[in-house]
Amino acid sequence: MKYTRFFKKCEDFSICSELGDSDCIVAEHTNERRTLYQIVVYGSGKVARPFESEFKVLDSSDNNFVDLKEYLYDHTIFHSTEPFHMYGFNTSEKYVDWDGRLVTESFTGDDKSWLICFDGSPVVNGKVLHKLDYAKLEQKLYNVEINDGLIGVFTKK
Amino acid sequence: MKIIFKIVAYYPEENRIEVKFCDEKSNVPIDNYCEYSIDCDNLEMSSSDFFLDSLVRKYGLRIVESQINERPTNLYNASKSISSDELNLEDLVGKVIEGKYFSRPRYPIKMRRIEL
Repeated sequence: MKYTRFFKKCEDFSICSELGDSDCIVAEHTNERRTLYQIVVYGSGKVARPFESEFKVLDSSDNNFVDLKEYLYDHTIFHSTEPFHMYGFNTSEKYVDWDGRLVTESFTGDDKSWLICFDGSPVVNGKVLHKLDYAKLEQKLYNVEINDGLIGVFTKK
Repeated sequence: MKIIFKIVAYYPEENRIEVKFCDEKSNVPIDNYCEYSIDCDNLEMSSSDFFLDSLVRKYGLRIVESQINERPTNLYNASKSISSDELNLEDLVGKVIEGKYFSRPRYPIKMRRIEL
């Protein structure tokens, strides 16, 4: 059974990535649990606190951008129900909160926000983005042709 | 690294041992290290394997790591850490660099900052 984790510390945040087979079980310790949002490129799974009956579904169709702030600094268990590829958007500074959302159309940015392309080849302000391109935004209009892209915008509170 | 230990006293009535730890390659005899009092209730006593594992995992690793960290660094071994995404081997030639590795497999991702 394959399961691989990746990690990148960026300016004000970090990105993790998990890639694995179906039926993987992954436990994450409270010391490592800084994921605010989970972005699902493909596959599905469930995440929960150990021994609780409540869980959150992660999948690429209806739940591909999931707010996981309620699990911040808790132990968690992830169980994949399909082969999967997911990203996590993580806060670098403890207790600093962010708002996140997927972008599907043109929007006005601000200087507290970062844009990250998680998949596909969307076009933003005439520039073709590639997977894991990211940019600090400014207070201006961003023209988006989403195409097959998966773009998140995250704003530091 | 091989962690070694020496039980210097056993108090059956208290179910307690006094133990010295060090790494096998230490230049200092193990008898010169301080001993730690350990309650055997905190150890797995069902077999030698479980005893060794629990003693080293719960106490030995942390104690020996602390011993090593207390040793002075040879001036010639003072290292720099590198964090830039760009790898330039020519810049590294002749420098002492801190080696980093991911103890739980977690590999770096290549991300590219762009201007929009």
